Amino acid sequence: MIAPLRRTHRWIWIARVLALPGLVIAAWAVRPPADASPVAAMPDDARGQTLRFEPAVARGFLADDGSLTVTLEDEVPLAMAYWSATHSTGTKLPSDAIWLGAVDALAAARLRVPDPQAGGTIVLYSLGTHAVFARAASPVDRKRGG
Amino acid sequence: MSVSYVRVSWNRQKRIYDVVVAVAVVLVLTTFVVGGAWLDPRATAETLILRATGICAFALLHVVLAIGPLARLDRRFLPLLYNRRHLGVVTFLVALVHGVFSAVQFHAFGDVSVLASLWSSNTRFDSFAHFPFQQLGFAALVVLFLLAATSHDFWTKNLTPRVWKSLHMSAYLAYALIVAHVALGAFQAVPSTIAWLLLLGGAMTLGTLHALAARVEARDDRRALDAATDDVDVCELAELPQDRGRTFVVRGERIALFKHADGVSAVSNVCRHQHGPLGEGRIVGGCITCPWHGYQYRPHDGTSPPPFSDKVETYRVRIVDGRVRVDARPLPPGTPVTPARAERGA
Ligand code: FES
Repeated sequence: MIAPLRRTHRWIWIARVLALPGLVIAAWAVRPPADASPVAAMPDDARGQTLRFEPAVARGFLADDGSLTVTLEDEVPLAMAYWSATHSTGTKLPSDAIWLGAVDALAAARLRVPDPQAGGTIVLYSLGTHAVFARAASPVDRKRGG
Repeated sequence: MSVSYVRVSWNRQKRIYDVVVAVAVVLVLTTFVVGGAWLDPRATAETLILRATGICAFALLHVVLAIGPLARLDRRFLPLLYNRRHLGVVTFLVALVHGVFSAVQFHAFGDVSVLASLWSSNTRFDSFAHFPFQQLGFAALVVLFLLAATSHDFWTKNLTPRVWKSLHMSAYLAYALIVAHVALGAFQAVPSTIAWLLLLGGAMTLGTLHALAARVEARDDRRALDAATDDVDVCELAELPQDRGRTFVVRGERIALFKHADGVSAVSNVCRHQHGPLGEGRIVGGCITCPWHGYQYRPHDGTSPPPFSDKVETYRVRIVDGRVRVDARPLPPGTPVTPARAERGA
């Protein structure tokens, strides 16, 4: 009577046992490791550009392959880095903002921007104050903008 | 036959279970919030609650999913199974707090609605490293809500146990979504290898427990009796324990045999409540009692004693020369069958 249900249950578990550890290991492999200063945190042969944050409360480096390192000059409560394809002003997070990860002053956060060639803005936002506190245009965008 | 029938309802055991779960959840949340504040003094209260509820809900889901195989492997875990649904509802409530705090923290301060922000802030479904992990968490929360909302017996009755059981298997989908949500989200900023090993260990432990439980089931299935005739020889009478069930697979169906004060009876192994294994139950107060939540059936007609009317299929049983023989054709649920007593030669 419940043999089909039991078979389904068995197959779900076989699939799960095979898939989940693989997923966890793959996610571990692609995580951006944390390190010291933004430039030092990049591999020696990394090609890219230093970011200019406005105001200058953070330092950053964006490699050509999309790897991004950011260090805050000073502590900001619960600072997060976001990627936005648009140029916004003010203290609200842009509606298209993509969360990249947490940043702080102790270590360079190693993040990754979704599409470095497309251009956009790295937005630093504090969950403590619920306000954008710095922005940096990606180098591609800076060149385009002159 | 004396009949002391206790239906699945609020009783002392359930209250104790719920109090223990509530106290444990409050203790775990408090420990994580206080410990988190100590380790990371810059974290806001919202963030500490978000982290604590996320960890707590994830840990609870592990416990919920481990109870089934543990109870199958060792009867001492059966009391946990008795009230597993309450643990599931608590898991959803803690996950809901986590979801609400996340939505407020990350999506409530923009100029679009929370849901619009959630679904439009990251649409990189084509990228593994940037996969929209928050949407995975949202999907898991929806599944957990469905499970919690249909956890009451009202839904078991109305959806039928088979549909209910199929629906509740989506707990595994919720688990997979949450593992992906954690691994591709919060853990991307976690450098600690220990944390990653814990995540991997949790998934592997659950997998191992279910594999071991499946082995026990497969062992029962291997003992399947495929007779050419309907009259199937199942075992020696002496092999049946007094007032406890034993399960036999006859022509692909599981049959529960009980030796009780009035003789030997056979009923379907599938409880009408949530498909619990009646053959792993006992005779309590003259009734076959399901090991999962205590539904009871009279051995001689597979019917719950009044005022209840749940029924399971019954089977004709004979005892010939000390061996138990079962007619493999199930009788309609609730059909009375006189319990078998030893008889001489066929
Ligand atoms: S009493 Fe719940 S499954 Fe039998």
